[in-house]
Amino acid sequence: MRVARGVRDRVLALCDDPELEVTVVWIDILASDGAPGARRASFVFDDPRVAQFHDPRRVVGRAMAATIGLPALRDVARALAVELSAFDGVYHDDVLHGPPAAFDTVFFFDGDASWPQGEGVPKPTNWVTQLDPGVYVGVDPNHFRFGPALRARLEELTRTICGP
Amino acid sequence: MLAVALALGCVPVTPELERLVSSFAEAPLLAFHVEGRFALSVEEHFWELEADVVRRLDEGVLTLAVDARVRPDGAQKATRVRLAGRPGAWRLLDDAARTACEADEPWGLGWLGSALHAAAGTTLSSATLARSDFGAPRSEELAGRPVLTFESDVHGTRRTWTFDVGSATPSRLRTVEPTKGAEILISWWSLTGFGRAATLGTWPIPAGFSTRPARPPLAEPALATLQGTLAPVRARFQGGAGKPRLLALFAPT
Repeated sequence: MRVARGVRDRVLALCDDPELEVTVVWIDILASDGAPGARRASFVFDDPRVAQFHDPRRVVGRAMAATIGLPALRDVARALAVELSAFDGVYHDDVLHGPPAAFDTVFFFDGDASWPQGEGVPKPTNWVTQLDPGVYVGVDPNHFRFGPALRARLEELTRTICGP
Repeated sequence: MLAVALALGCVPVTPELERLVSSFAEAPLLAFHVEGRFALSVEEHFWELEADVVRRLDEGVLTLAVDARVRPDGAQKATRVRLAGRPGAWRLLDDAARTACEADEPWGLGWLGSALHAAAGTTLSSATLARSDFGAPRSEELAGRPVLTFESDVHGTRRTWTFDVGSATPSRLRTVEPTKGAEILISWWSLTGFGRAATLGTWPIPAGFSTRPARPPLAEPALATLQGTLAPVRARFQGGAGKPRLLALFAPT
């Protein structure tokens, strides 16, 4: 939610370009996630430039996982030297045992980016994540930010795509 | 107020505390009274409160009274805030602003600004507050220390709250399951008193206070569910060709 509020406060509030389009996808990752949580969370945004989706089957998260180098949770468990069962009840079972799904990550695209039908997600011009590479081994540490640094980075990246 | 005042931060578990705990077990949830100091982070703002909270639940009807001294960060003035509420009737008095506000729902009071207003649209309604359930406290031991434990069930989310009553003042509270994702985060609090309460403040509007209108409810945002396909997301992306675009992925809780 901190990242979502960061997008609201450091992207939408600072960029008054009416052309900007923000697509927000609420993905069921944690065991507590679901339609009620997505509905509550959607109140964070009140901006006509935002379209919001709920992704209970994590299709968008999975499509973007490779872009950020997100590992599967079994690899996270191995890196942390803990049993995978240590995450029981924390994540959805399908997240625990299935392929990785990205979340808490914001991708920036310029006007040239294209995503034709049948093709993979285009490469973003930049991205920032709150997923700690110390835990999520494989995530590029250059893109990791947390707290005030995350908000500052969102602001910085917004300037690169937001019109005058 | 008929409150059993226990300076829990100052004393170890005593027979009085044990008796209090037992009395809740016998007749739970009639009312409880808490005095404490709270540090709240709401969005990126920080409030420090000293509050006296009385909560009452009789036959499923919630009544709440809060008398708080608030020290906000930034340029906002310190103030005394009094909140009284029951389903369908909420009132808030702000001494610094000398304003009173009355609303059908707590979020209509709008005191904490738009962020809380948004969060409260679905979580802080009279209905959900009335359904919330704080179980009777239990006296337990945690890592060799006496603690007072509550279980709460608010909006279907169960949490365990543990008061370290045996420590030196101020006693600390920690949540076993932190309020991750909530708009309001309780950074810490200390409990200075806890007990049964029989009466609640009603806070009549003082002379000289002006009335502030209640805030209208927020419209619920449009939220489309992806049925196992990313086609709608791709279509929106392609529809925005030539424009700067963001794709933001979040876990909702």
